[in-house]
Amino acid sequence: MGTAVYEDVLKIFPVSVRALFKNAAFQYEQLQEIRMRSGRPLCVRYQGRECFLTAAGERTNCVRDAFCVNDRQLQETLQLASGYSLYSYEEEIRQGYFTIRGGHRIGVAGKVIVEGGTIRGIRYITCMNIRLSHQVRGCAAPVLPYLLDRNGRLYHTLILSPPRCGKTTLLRDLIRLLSYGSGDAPGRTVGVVDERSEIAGCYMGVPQNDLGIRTDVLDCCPKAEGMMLLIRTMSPEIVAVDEIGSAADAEAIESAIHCGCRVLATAHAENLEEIQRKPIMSACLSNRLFERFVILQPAACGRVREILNEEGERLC
Amino acid sequence: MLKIFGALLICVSSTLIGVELVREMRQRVQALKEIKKMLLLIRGEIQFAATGLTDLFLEMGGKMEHPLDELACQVGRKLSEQDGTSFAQVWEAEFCDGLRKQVTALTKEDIQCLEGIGELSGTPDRAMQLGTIDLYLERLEPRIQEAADAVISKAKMYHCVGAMCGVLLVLLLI
Repeated sequence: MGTAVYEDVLKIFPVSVRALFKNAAFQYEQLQEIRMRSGRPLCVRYQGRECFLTAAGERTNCVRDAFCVNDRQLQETLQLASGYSLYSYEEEIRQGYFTIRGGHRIGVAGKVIVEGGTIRGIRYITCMNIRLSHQVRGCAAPVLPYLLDRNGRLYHTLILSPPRCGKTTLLRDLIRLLSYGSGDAPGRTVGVVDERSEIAGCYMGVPQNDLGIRTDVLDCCPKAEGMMLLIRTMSPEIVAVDEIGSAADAEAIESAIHCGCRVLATAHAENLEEIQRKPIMSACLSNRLFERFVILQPAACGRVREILNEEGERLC
Repeated sequence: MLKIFGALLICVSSTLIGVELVREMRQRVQALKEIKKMLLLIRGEIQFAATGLTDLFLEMGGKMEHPLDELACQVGRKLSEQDGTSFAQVWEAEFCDGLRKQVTALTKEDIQCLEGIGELSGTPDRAMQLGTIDLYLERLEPRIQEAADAVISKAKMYHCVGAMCGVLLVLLLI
Protein backbone atom coordinates (compact mmCIF):
# COMPACT_ATOMS: atom_id res chain seq x y z
CA MET A 1 0.00 0.00 0.00
CA GLY A 2 2.72 2.44 1.08
CA THR A 3 4.80 1.55 -1.96
CA ALA A 4 1.90 2.23 -4.31
CA VAL A 5 1.25 5.61 -2.68
CA TYR A 6 4.98 6.40 -2.80
CA GLU A 7 5.07 5.55 -6.53
CA ASP A 8 2.03 7.74 -7.02
CA VAL A 9 3.65 10.66 -5.19
CA LEU A 10 6.80 10.33 -7.32
CA LYS A 11 4.72 11.05 -10.41
CA ILE A 12 4.72 14.73 -9.51
CA PHE A 13 8.48 14.93 -10.12
CA PRO A 14 10.30 15.15 -13.43
CA VAL A 15 12.21 12.04 -14.46
CA SER A 16 15.56 13.30 -13.12
CA VAL A 17 14.23 13.95 -9.59
CA ARG A 18 12.04 10.84 -9.67
CA ALA A 19 15.15 8.70 -10.17
CA LEU A 20 16.72 10.11 -6.98
CA PHE A 21 13.70 9.21 -4.89
CA LYS A 22 13.52 5.75 -6.43
CA ASN A 23 17.13 5.13 -5.45
CA ALA A 24 16.57 6.54 -1.97
CA ALA A 25 13.70 4.05 -1.49
CA PHE A 26 12.02 5.93 1.34
CA GLN A 27 9.29 4.26 3.35
CA TYR A 28 6.25 6.33 2.52
CA GLU A 29 4.82 6.14 6.05
CA GLN A 30 7.97 7.81 7.41
CA LEU A 31 8.25 10.46 4.71
CA GLN A 32 6.71 13.73 5.86
CA GLU A 33 7.91 16.60 3.73
CA ILE A 34 9.86 17.33 0.56
CA ARG A 35 11.20 20.83 0.05
CA MET A 36 12.39 22.12 -3.30
CA ARG A 37 14.02 25.53 -3.63
CA SER A 38 15.46 26.78 -6.89
CA GLY A 39 19.25 26.42 -6.84
CA ARG A 40 19.21 24.96 -3.32
CA PRO A 41 19.54 21.43 -1.96
CA LEU A 42 16.59 19.08 -2.13
CA CYS A 43 15.45 18.72 1.46
CA VAL A 44 13.48 15.80 2.84
CA ARG A 45 11.93 15.34 6.27
CA TYR A 46 12.10 11.64 6.92
CA GLN A 47 11.44 9.85 10.22
CA GLY A 48 11.07 13.26 11.85
CA ARG A 49 14.52 14.45 10.77
CA GLU A 50 15.80 16.57 7.92
CA CYS A 51 18.06 14.92 5.36
CA PHE A 52 19.32 15.59 1.83
CA LEU A 53 19.76 13.45 -1.23
CA THR A 54 22.98 13.13 -3.21
CA ALA A 55 23.00 13.17 -7.01
CA ALA A 56 23.03 9.36 -6.83
CA GLY A 57 19.91 9.34 -4.67
CA GLU A 58 21.62 8.40 -1.41
CA ARG A 59 20.57 9.97 1.85
CA THR A 60 23.05 12.36 3.43
CA ASN A 61 23.20 14.91 6.20
CA CYS A 62 26.03 16.81 4.53
CA VAL A 63 24.81 19.90 2.62
CA ARG A 64 27.92 19.92 0.38
CA ASP A 65 27.04 16.50 -1.05
CA ALA A 66 23.39 17.40 -1.54
CA PHE A 67 21.71 17.43 -4.92
CA CYS A 68 20.59 20.95 -5.84
CA VAL A 69 17.27 21.51 -7.58
CA ASN A 70 17.43 23.76 -10.64
CA ASP A 71 14.66 26.10 -11.72
CA ARG A 72 13.62 23.93 -14.63
CA GLN A 73 13.13 20.90 -12.37
CA LEU A 74 11.11 23.02 -9.98
CA GLN A 75 8.90 24.37 -12.76
CA GLU A 76 8.43 20.89 -14.21
CA THR A 77 7.44 19.62 -10.77
CA LEU A 78 4.89 22.40 -10.52
CA GLN A 79 3.47 21.46 -13.91
CA LEU A 80 3.31 17.75 -13.17
CA ALA A 81 1.88 18.27 -9.68
CA SER A 82 -0.85 20.54 -11.01
CA GLY A 83 -1.70 18.15 -13.85
CA TYR A 84 -0.22 20.64 -16.34
CA SER A 85 -2.90 23.09 -15.22
CA LEU A 86 -1.53 25.50 -12.67
CA TYR A 87 -4.31 27.93 -13.57
CA SER A 88 -6.93 25.54 -12.19
CA TYR A 89 -5.38 26.04 -8.72
CA GLU A 90 -5.37 29.83 -9.03
CA GLU A 91 -7.57 30.42 -5.99
CA GLU A 92 -5.60 28.06 -3.79
CA ILE A 93 -2.24 29.40 -4.94
CA ARG A 94 -3.43 32.84 -3.91
CA GLN A 95 -3.47 31.42 -0.38
CA GLY A 96 -0.03 29.91 -0.86
CA TYR A 97 -0.76 26.24 -1.41
CA PHE A 98 -2.68 23.73 -3.45
CA THR A 99 -3.78 20.17 -2.78
CA ILE A 100 -3.20 17.39 -5.25
CA ARG A 101 -4.65 13.92 -5.77
CA GLY A 102 -3.98 11.89 -2.64
CA GLY A 103 -4.55 14.87 -0.36
CA HIS A 104 -0.92 16.00 -0.42
CA ARG A 105 -0.53 19.72 0.13
CA ILE A 106 1.96 21.75 -1.86
CA GLY A 107 2.95 25.07 -0.33
CA VAL A 108 4.50 27.56 -2.74
CA ALA A 109 6.49 30.76 -2.38
CA GLY A 110 7.78 33.23 -4.93
CA LYS A 111 6.94 36.70 -6.13
CA VAL A 112 3.58 37.75 -4.78
CA ILE A 113 1.44 39.90 -7.05
CA VAL A 114 -0.52 42.42 -5.01
CA GLU A 115 -3.26 44.62 -6.40
CA GLY A 116 -5.11 47.14 -4.27
CA GLY A 117 -3.70 45.63 -1.10
CA THR A 118 -4.92 42.09 -1.84
CA ILE A 119 -2.92 39.16 -3.13
CA ARG A 120 -3.74 38.46 -6.79
CA GLY A 121 -1.45 35.48 -7.14
CA ILE A 122 2.08 34.17 -6.95
CA ARG A 123 4.36 34.28 -9.98
CA TYR A 124 7.93 33.06 -10.36
CA ILE A 125 7.39 30.27 -7.88
CA THR A 126 10.84 29.28 -6.63
CA CYS A 127 10.10 27.35 -3.43
CA MET A 128 7.85 24.37 -2.90
CA ASN A 129 7.01 22.44 0.22
CA ILE A 130 5.32 19.13 -0.48
CA ARG A 131 3.58 17.93 2.68
CA LEU A 132 2.59 14.33 2.31
CA SER A 133 -0.76 13.25 3.60
CA HIS A 134 -0.83 10.23 5.87
CA GLN A 135 -3.81 8.42 7.17
CA VAL A 136 -3.02 6.75 10.47
CA ARG A 137 -6.05 4.58 10.91
CA GLY A 138 -6.91 3.92 14.50
CA CYS A 139 -4.59 6.55 15.96
CA ALA A 140 -7.59 8.26 17.58
CA ALA A 141 -9.04 5.09 19.10
CA PRO A 142 -7.34 5.49 22.52
CA VAL A 143 -8.42 9.16 22.65
CA LEU A 144 -12.04 8.77 21.63
CA PRO A 145 -13.44 7.33 24.91
CA TYR A 146 -12.34 10.51 26.73
CA LEU A 147 -14.26 12.63 24.26
CA LEU A 148 -17.62 10.88 24.54
CA ASP A 149 -20.17 11.36 27.31
CA ARG A 150 -22.24 8.61 28.88
CA ASN A 151 -24.72 8.72 26.00
CA GLY A 152 -22.01 8.39 23.41
CA ARG A 153 -22.28 12.07 22.47
CA LEU A 154 -19.13 13.92 21.59
CA TYR A 155 -17.96 16.70 23.91
CA HIS A 156 -17.10 19.95 22.16
CA THR A 157 -13.42 19.21 21.60
CA LEU A 158 -10.38 21.27 20.71
CA ILE A 159 -7.13 19.57 19.63
CA LEU A 160 -4.02 21.64 20.34
CA SER A 161 -0.48 21.34 19.07
CA PRO A 162 2.20 23.30 17.22
CA PRO A 163 2.43 22.69 13.44
CA ARG A 164 3.58 19.27 12.20
CA CYS A 165 2.64 17.38 15.35
CA GLY A 166 -0.25 15.40 13.91
CA LYS A 167 -3.31 17.54 14.72
CA THR A 168 -4.92 17.00 11.35
CA THR A 169 -4.08 13.29 11.34
CA LEU A 170 -5.76 12.87 14.73
CA LEU A 171 -8.73 14.99 13.67
CA ARG A 172 -9.14 12.93 10.49
CA ASP A 173 -9.15 9.67 12.39
CA LEU A 174 -11.58 11.00 15.00
CA ILE A 175 -13.94 12.02 12.20
CA ARG A 176 -13.61 8.57 10.64
CA LEU A 177 -14.30 6.77 13.93
CA LEU A 178 -17.25 9.01 14.80
CA SER A 179 -18.70 8.63 11.32
CA TYR A 180 -18.44 4.85 11.18
CA GLY A 181 -19.46 4.50 14.81
CA SER A 182 -18.00 1.98 17.18
CA GLY A 183 -19.14 -0.38 19.96
CA ASP A 184 -21.00 1.96 22.31
CA ALA A 185 -21.29 4.99 20.06
CA PRO A 186 -23.50 4.76 17.00
CA GLY A 187 -22.29 6.37 13.76
CA ARG A 188 -22.85 10.12 13.64
CA THR A 189 -23.39 12.46 10.73
CA VAL A 190 -20.26 14.55 10.51
CA GLY A 191 -19.95 17.77 8.52
CA VAL A 192 -16.38 18.72 7.66
CA VAL A 193 -15.38 22.19 6.52
CA ASP A 194 -12.06 21.53 4.83
CA GLU A 195 -10.79 24.98 3.97
CA ARG A 196 -7.32 23.81 2.95
CA SER A 197 -8.28 20.37 1.60
CA GLU A 198 -6.08 18.82 4.26
CA ILE A 199 -8.59 16.74 6.20
CA ALA A 200 -10.35 14.95 3.38
CA GLY A 201 -7.70 15.71 0.76
CA CYS A 202 -10.41 16.17 -1.86
CA TYR A 203 -9.40 15.96 -5.47
CA MET A 204 -12.09 17.33 -7.79
CA GLY A 205 -14.54 17.16 -4.89
CA VAL A 206 -13.88 13.51 -4.08
CA PRO A 207 -12.34 12.84 -0.63
CA GLN A 208 -9.10 10.93 -1.04
CA ASN A 209 -8.92 10.07 2.64
CA ASP A 210 -11.38 7.81 4.41
CA LEU A 211 -13.58 10.00 6.60
CA GLY A 212 -16.30 7.46 7.18
CA ILE A 213 -19.66 6.70 5.62
CA ARG A 214 -21.63 9.48 7.31
CA THR A 215 -19.34 12.38 6.50
CA ASP A 216 -20.14 15.33 4.26
CA VAL A 217 -17.25 17.48 3.14
CA LEU A 218 -17.28 21.11 2.08
CA ASP A 219 -13.98 21.43 0.26
CA CYS A 220 -12.01 24.69 -0.08
CA CYS A 221 -14.71 26.57 1.79
CA PRO A 222 -13.92 29.29 4.35
CA LYS A 223 -14.55 27.82 7.79
CA ALA A 224 -16.99 30.37 9.17
CA GLU A 225 -19.28 30.39 6.12
CA GLY A 226 -18.85 26.65 5.66
CA MET A 227 -19.99 25.76 9.17
CA MET A 228 -23.23 27.70 8.82
CA LEU A 229 -23.77 26.36 5.32
CA LEU A 230 -23.37 22.78 6.51
CA ILE A 231 -25.73 23.30 9.43
CA ARG A 232 -28.37 24.75 7.11
CA THR A 233 -28.03 22.17 4.38
CA MET A 234 -26.67 18.89 5.74
CA SER A 235 -27.84 18.99 9.41
CA PRO A 236 -24.72 17.39 10.84
CA GLU A 237 -24.57 16.12 14.40
CA ILE A 238 -20.89 16.96 14.54
CA VAL A 239 -19.09 19.81 12.78
CA ALA A 240 -15.35 19.35 12.29
CA VAL A 241 -12.90 22.08 11.30
CA ASP A 242 -9.13 22.44 11.21
CA GLU A 243 -6.97 25.29 12.47
CA ILE A 244 -9.45 27.75 13.90
CA GLY A 245 -8.17 31.15 14.98
CA SER A 246 -10.11 34.07 13.56
CA ALA A 247 -12.97 35.96 15.18
CA ALA A 248 -15.31 34.72 12.43
CA ASP A 249 -14.31 31.12 13.22
CA ALA A 250 -15.02 31.61 16.93
CA GLU A 251 -18.38 33.20 16.14
CA ALA A 252 -19.33 30.37 13.78
CA ILE A 253 -18.36 27.77 16.37
CA GLU A 254 -20.54 29.47 18.94
CA SER A 255 -23.43 29.52 16.48
CA ALA A 256 -22.88 25.85 15.64
CA ILE A 257 -22.95 24.96 19.32
CA HIS A 258 -26.16 26.95 19.79
CA CYS A 259 -27.64 25.07 16.85
CA GLY A 260 -27.18 21.82 18.76
CA CYS A 261 -24.16 20.54 16.87
CA ARG A 262 -21.13 19.07 18.56
CA VAL A 263 -17.88 20.73 17.53
CA LEU A 264 -14.54 19.09 16.83
CA ALA A 265 -11.77 21.55 16.02
CA THR A 266 -8.01 22.03 16.05
CA ALA A 267 -5.87 25.07 16.75
CA HIS A 268 -2.19 25.96 16.79
CA ALA A 269 -0.93 26.13 20.38
CA GLU A 270 1.50 24.20 22.48
CA ASN A 271 -0.70 24.16 25.57
CA LEU A 272 -3.79 25.67 27.17
CA GLU A 273 -1.85 28.66 28.52
CA GLU A 274 -0.71 29.59 25.05
CA ILE A 275 -4.23 29.53 23.71
CA GLN A 276 -5.38 31.70 26.61
CA ARG A 277 -2.92 34.34 25.50
CA LYS A 278 -4.65 34.61 22.11
CA PRO A 279 -7.47 37.15 22.51
CA ILE A 280 -10.01 35.47 20.25
CA MET A 281 -9.36 31.95 21.45
CA SER A 282 -9.27 33.01 25.08
CA ALA A 283 -12.82 34.34 24.62
CA CYS A 284 -13.83 30.86 23.48
CA LEU A 285 -12.29 29.41 26.61
CA SER A 286 -13.89 31.93 28.95
CA ASN A 287 -17.27 31.25 27.32
CA ARG A 288 -16.58 27.56 27.94
CA LEU A 289 -17.28 26.63 24.37
CA PHE A 290 -15.03 23.60 24.58
CA GLU A 291 -15.44 20.75 27.03
CA ARG A 292 -12.40 18.68 26.14
CA PHE A 293 -8.86 19.67 25.14
CA VAL A 294 -6.55 17.15 23.52
CA ILE A 295 -2.97 18.40 23.71
CA LEU A 296 -0.38 16.71 21.55
CA GLN A 297 3.25 16.19 22.42
CA PRO A 298 5.45 18.73 20.61
CA ALA A 299 8.01 17.19 18.24
CA ALA A 300 6.45 13.76 18.68
CA CYS A 301 4.21 13.17 15.74
CA GLY A 302 0.71 12.23 16.81
CA ARG A 303 1.48 11.44 20.46
CA VAL A 304 -1.12 12.73 22.94
CA ARG A 305 0.42 14.51 25.93
CA GLU A 306 -2.74 15.09 27.90
CA ILE A 307 -6.50 15.37 27.69
CA LEU A 308 -8.14 18.06 29.80
CA ASN A 309 -11.76 18.77 30.69
CA GLU A 310 -13.41 22.20 30.62
CA GLU A 311 -12.02 22.95 34.09
CA GLY A 312 -8.51 22.27 32.83
CA GLU A 313 -8.32 19.10 34.90
CA ARG A 314 -6.25 16.33 33.48
CA LEU A 315 -8.22 13.25 32.42
CA CYS A 316 -5.26 11.31 31.12
CA MET B 1 -12.66 1.72 -79.49
CA LEU B 2 -9.57 1.30 -77.38
CA LYS B 3 -8.47 4.85 -78.28
CA ILE B 4 -11.80 6.27 -77.19
CA PHE B 5 -11.63 4.36 -73.93
CA GLY B 6 -8.05 5.58 -73.32
CA ALA B 7 -8.98 9.20 -74.12
CA LEU B 8 -11.94 8.98 -71.75
CA LEU B 9 -9.75 7.56 -69.02
CA ILE B 10 -7.23 10.39 -69.39
CA CYS B 11 -9.98 13.06 -69.30
CA VAL B 12 -11.66 11.52 -66.23
CA SER B 13 -8.36 11.08 -64.35
CA SER B 14 -7.26 14.59 -65.07
CA THR B 15 -10.62 16.00 -63.97
CA LEU B 16 -10.45 13.92 -60.78
CA ILE B 17 -7.01 15.39 -59.98
CA GLY B 18 -8.61 18.83 -60.10
CA VAL B 19 -11.51 17.67 -57.95
CA GLU B 20 -9.09 16.12 -55.45
CA LEU B 21 -7.10 19.36 -55.18
CA VAL B 22 -10.30 21.29 -54.44
CA ARG B 23 -11.38 18.64 -51.91
CA GLU B 24 -8.04 19.02 -50.15
CA MET B 25 -8.48 22.81 -50.04
CA ARG B 26 -11.94 22.38 -48.54
CA GLN B 27 -10.56 19.84 -46.08
CA ARG B 28 -7.98 22.39 -44.94
CA VAL B 29 -10.71 24.93 -44.25
CA GLN B 30 -12.70 22.30 -42.38
CA ALA B 31 -9.68 21.22 -40.31
CA LEU B 32 -8.78 24.80 -39.41
CA LYS B 33 -12.39 25.48 -38.37
CA GLU B 34 -12.37 22.33 -36.28
CA ILE B 35 -9.13 23.41 -34.58
CA LYS B 36 -10.72 26.79 -33.87
CA LYS B 37 -13.72 25.01 -32.38
CA MET B 38 -11.36 22.97 -30.20
CA LEU B 39 -9.60 26.11 -28.96
CA LEU B 40 -12.97 27.72 -28.19
CA LEU B 41 -14.00 24.60 -26.23
CA ILE B 42 -10.74 24.71 -24.28
CA ARG B 43 -11.25 28.40 -23.66
CA GLY B 44 -14.79 27.89 -22.36
CA GLU B 45 -13.80 25.03 -20.07
CA ILE B 46 -10.93 27.04 -18.60
CA GLN B 47 -12.94 30.23 -18.25
CA PHE B 48 -16.05 28.80 -16.64
CA ALA B 49 -14.92 25.60 -14.94
CA ALA B 50 -11.13 25.94 -14.60
CA THR B 51 -10.93 22.35 -15.86
CA GLY B 52 -7.45 20.88 -15.92
CA LEU B 53 -5.86 20.12 -19.29
CA THR B 54 -5.88 16.34 -18.78
CA ASP B 55 -9.63 16.11 -18.15
CA LEU B 56 -10.30 18.74 -20.72
CA PHE B 57 -8.65 16.76 -23.53
CA LEU B 58 -10.07 13.44 -22.36
CA GLU B 59 -13.60 14.85 -22.45
CA MET B 60 -13.13 16.39 -25.87
CA GLY B 61 -13.59 13.07 -27.67
CA GLY B 62 -17.31 13.28 -28.33
CA LYS B 63 -17.31 16.99 -29.07
CA MET B 64 -14.99 17.02 -32.07
CA GLU B 65 -14.92 15.47 -35.51
CA HIS B 66 -12.53 12.76 -36.56
CA PRO B 67 -9.50 12.72 -36.43
CA LEU B 68 -9.24 15.68 -34.04
CA ASP B 69 -11.37 13.87 -31.44
CA GLU B 70 -8.98 10.94 -31.41
CA LEU B 71 -5.92 13.19 -31.30
CA ALA B 72 -7.33 15.23 -28.41
CA CYS B 73 -8.17 12.05 -26.47
CA GLN B 74 -4.69 10.74 -27.14
CA VAL B 75 -3.22 13.95 -25.65
CA GLY B 76 -5.46 13.49 -22.58
CA ARG B 77 -4.48 9.83 -22.21
CA LYS B 78 -0.78 10.65 -22.49
CA LEU B 79 -1.09 13.47 -19.93
CA SER B 80 -2.88 11.18 -17.48
CA GLU B 81 0.04 8.74 -17.63
CA GLN B 82 2.16 11.37 -15.81
CA ASP B 83 5.33 9.83 -17.17
CA GLY B 84 7.36 12.97 -16.55
CA THR B 85 7.10 14.49 -20.02
CA SER B 86 6.06 18.11 -20.34
CA PHE B 87 2.79 19.26 -21.90
CA ALA B 88 4.76 20.83 -24.76
CA GLN B 89 6.34 17.45 -25.57
CA VAL B 90 3.01 15.62 -25.38
CA TRP B 91 1.30 18.24 -27.55
CA GLU B 92 4.02 18.07 -30.18
CA ALA B 93 4.28 14.28 -30.23
CA GLU B 94 0.60 13.39 -29.99
CA PHE B 95 -1.30 16.28 -31.54
CA CYS B 96 0.97 18.10 -34.00
CA ASP B 97 2.58 14.90 -35.32
CA GLY B 98 -0.86 13.31 -35.52
CA LEU B 99 -2.12 16.25 -37.58
CA ARG B 100 0.86 15.99 -39.93
CA LYS B 101 0.12 12.31 -40.54
CA GLN B 102 -3.68 12.33 -40.57
CA VAL B 103 -4.68 15.74 -41.92
CA THR B 104 -2.41 16.16 -44.91
CA ALA B 105 -4.47 19.10 -46.17
CA LEU B 106 -2.99 21.33 -43.46
CA THR B 107 0.13 23.23 -44.48
CA LYS B 108 3.40 23.20 -42.60
CA GLU B 109 2.70 26.79 -41.49
CA ASP B 110 -0.74 25.84 -40.18
CA ILE B 111 0.78 23.25 -37.89
CA GLN B 112 3.68 25.51 -36.90
CA CYS B 113 1.10 28.06 -35.81
CA LEU B 114 -0.35 25.47 -33.38
CA GLU B 115 2.93 24.26 -31.93
CA GLY B 116 3.09 27.14 -29.43
CA ILE B 117 -0.08 25.89 -27.73
CA GLY B 118 2.27 23.45 -25.99
CA GLU B 119 3.33 26.34 -23.77
CA LEU B 120 -0.23 26.66 -22.40
CA SER B 121 0.48 24.80 -19.20
CA GLY B 122 3.09 27.24 -17.98
CA THR B 123 0.76 30.09 -17.08
CA PRO B 124 -0.12 30.42 -13.41
CA ASP B 125 -3.43 32.27 -13.73
CA ARG B 126 -6.56 31.87 -15.74
CA ALA B 127 -6.53 35.34 -17.29
CA MET B 128 -3.11 34.73 -18.77
CA GLN B 129 -4.15 31.28 -19.96
CA LEU B 130 -7.21 32.70 -21.70
CA GLY B 131 -5.08 35.47 -23.20
CA THR B 132 -2.73 32.87 -24.66
CA ILE B 133 -5.63 30.97 -26.22
CA ASP B 134 -7.04 34.21 -27.62
CA LEU B 135 -3.69 34.89 -29.23
CA TYR B 136 -3.79 31.55 -31.06
CA LEU B 137 -7.41 32.12 -32.05
CA GLU B 138 -6.39 35.46 -33.55
CA ARG B 139 -3.57 33.80 -35.44
CA LEU B 140 -5.89 31.10 -36.70
CA GLU B 141 -8.62 33.40 -37.96
CA PRO B 142 -6.71 34.90 -40.95
CA ARG B 143 -5.58 31.39 -41.93
CA ILE B 144 -9.18 30.19 -42.02
CA GLN B 145 -10.16 33.25 -44.04
CA GLU B 146 -7.28 32.81 -46.46
CA ALA B 147 -8.07 29.09 -46.91
CA ALA B 148 -11.77 29.83 -47.45
CA ASP B 149 -10.96 32.57 -50.00
CA ALA B 150 -8.65 30.17 -51.81
CA VAL B 151 -11.50 27.67 -52.15
CA ILE B 152 -13.81 30.33 -53.61
CA SER B 153 -11.26 31.73 -56.01
CA LYS B 154 -9.52 28.53 -57.06
CA ALA B 155 -12.14 25.79 -56.94
CA LYS B 156 -13.66 26.54 -60.36
CA MET B 157 -10.23 27.08 -61.88
CA TYR B 158 -8.91 23.72 -60.57
CA HIS B 159 -11.97 21.91 -61.92
CA CYS B 160 -11.60 23.56 -65.33
CA VAL B 161 -7.82 23.19 -65.54
CA GLY B 162 -8.13 19.52 -64.55
CA ALA B 163 -10.64 18.80 -67.28
CA MET B 164 -8.84 20.94 -69.89
CA CYS B 165 -5.46 19.31 -69.20
CA GLY B 166 -7.08 15.94 -69.86
CA VAL B 167 -8.52 17.13 -73.15
CA LEU B 168 -5.19 18.72 -74.14
CA LEU B 169 -3.30 15.54 -73.34
CA VAL B 170 -5.76 13.50 -75.39
CA LEU B 171 -5.39 15.90 -78.36
CA LEU B 172 -1.62 15.72 -78.11
CA LEU B 173 -1.60 11.95 -77.96
CA ILE B 174 -4.00 11.60 -80.91
